[in-house]
Amino acid sequence: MADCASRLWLGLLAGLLLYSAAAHAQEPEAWLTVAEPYIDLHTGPGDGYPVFNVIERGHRLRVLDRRADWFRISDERGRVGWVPRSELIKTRLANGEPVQFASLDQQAFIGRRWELGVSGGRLKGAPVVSLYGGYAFTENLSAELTLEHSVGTVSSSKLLRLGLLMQPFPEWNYSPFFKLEGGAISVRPNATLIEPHNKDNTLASVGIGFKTWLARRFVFRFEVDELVIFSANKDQDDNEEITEWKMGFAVFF
Amino acid sequence: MENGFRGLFLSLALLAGPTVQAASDQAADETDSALIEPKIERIEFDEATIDARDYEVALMAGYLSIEDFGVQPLLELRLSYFITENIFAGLRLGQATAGKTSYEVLTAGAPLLTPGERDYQYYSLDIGYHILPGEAFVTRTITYNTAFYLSGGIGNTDFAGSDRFTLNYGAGYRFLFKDWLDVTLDFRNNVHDMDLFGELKTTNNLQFTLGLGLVF
Repeated sequence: MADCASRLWLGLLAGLLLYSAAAHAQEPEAWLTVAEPYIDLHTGPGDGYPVFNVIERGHRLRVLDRRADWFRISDERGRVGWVPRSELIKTRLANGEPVQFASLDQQAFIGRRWELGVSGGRLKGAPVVSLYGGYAFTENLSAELTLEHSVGTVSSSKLLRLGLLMQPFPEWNYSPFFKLEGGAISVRPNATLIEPHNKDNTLASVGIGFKTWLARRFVFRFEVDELVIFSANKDQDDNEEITEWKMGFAVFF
Repeated sequence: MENGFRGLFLSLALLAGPTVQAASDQAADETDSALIEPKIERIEFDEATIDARDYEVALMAGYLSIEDFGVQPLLELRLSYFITENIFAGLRLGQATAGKTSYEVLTAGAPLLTPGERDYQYYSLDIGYHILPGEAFVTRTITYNTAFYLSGGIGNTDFAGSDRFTLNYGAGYRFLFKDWLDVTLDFRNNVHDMDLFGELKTTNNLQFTLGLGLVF
């Protein structure tokens, strides 16, 4: 344990050194000119951080980095502060053109490529934690990979599901979706029970749900799935059907 | 003679005239073309090229109080993503080894758990909020950004041979030494059921950790 810990710390330190070296190598050079009377400079990324300076019209600034929608900038005199996206659009490029920013609205959500989310719910009455990643081929069709862990009183199950998700009305505020998945389930009985072996089975599922864009990169999602767990014994027809519901949040890129 | 000179100058002026005129025309043309086709500096400002510091990876170390099994060293790895400047979502992976129960110590009898079952491993999917973002004034000129946050989530604990659905909630203090380096102090309760002693009971497993994080 101690050995493992010291190795982890060493690894982290090495990563830290490499990272700080990389951070110094990158120097963004585009200068922006303030086009409105002034821009407020905050001491930190957030509306609550006090304004400690302003950059006046005609003066220049450059963007160093950002955290979410706040940009850390430096002016010609080397003063460093934070400005939100809503302030930074008051600048122009050296050639006079306004600065273009990607807006994070519902349209951005509809045109998303990647989606990563977590959710919680119930699988056959037991709590379930779910992590999923999705890739959208078009506005209507995406592929999703889901990892799930359901922990019940007598056993716990790990599920891996891969499937296609169809979203016929992406522009609706509460956009419904349908999905079809295939995958595998591994059931581990609790230690206090007699049966000590894991059981692995394949499964298929259909699901219905909706997604709704909340703000910026944030999406809420709710779904109900019907799962069929195929019997390992081909001679017996004892496929198990179970219902799952879950809701959660996702971010998109 | 005078007329001769005058004639010469005149003819020279006549000869030179169009040239001078041409030169000034050329200059005017240049000015015109400069007005029509300015030398545009093609500076593309692409938001995607701005270094976004939306992720954090942190290694935390501290203590975990495992109910009935003593207080043990804990090691935890955290990955966080800042959805906004104040809201973050993340994954925590932790590992500790449970000690002995008082019963095991007092009776010196058969151990309740095998060494493998004493491993206390968990993961959790969390969401957090910087409820009190702020600044720390170390000296008159040196200030650091800080944040007091609340967070909580759901996950699983693998302990005593079984998976246990786990709820956690806690609070912490994040201290940003640099924009890419922070130190976090975190206090948290991990709640899960245990049925090891015959009856099902809900346990509270408190953890206290300090860690170093990289923001990238």
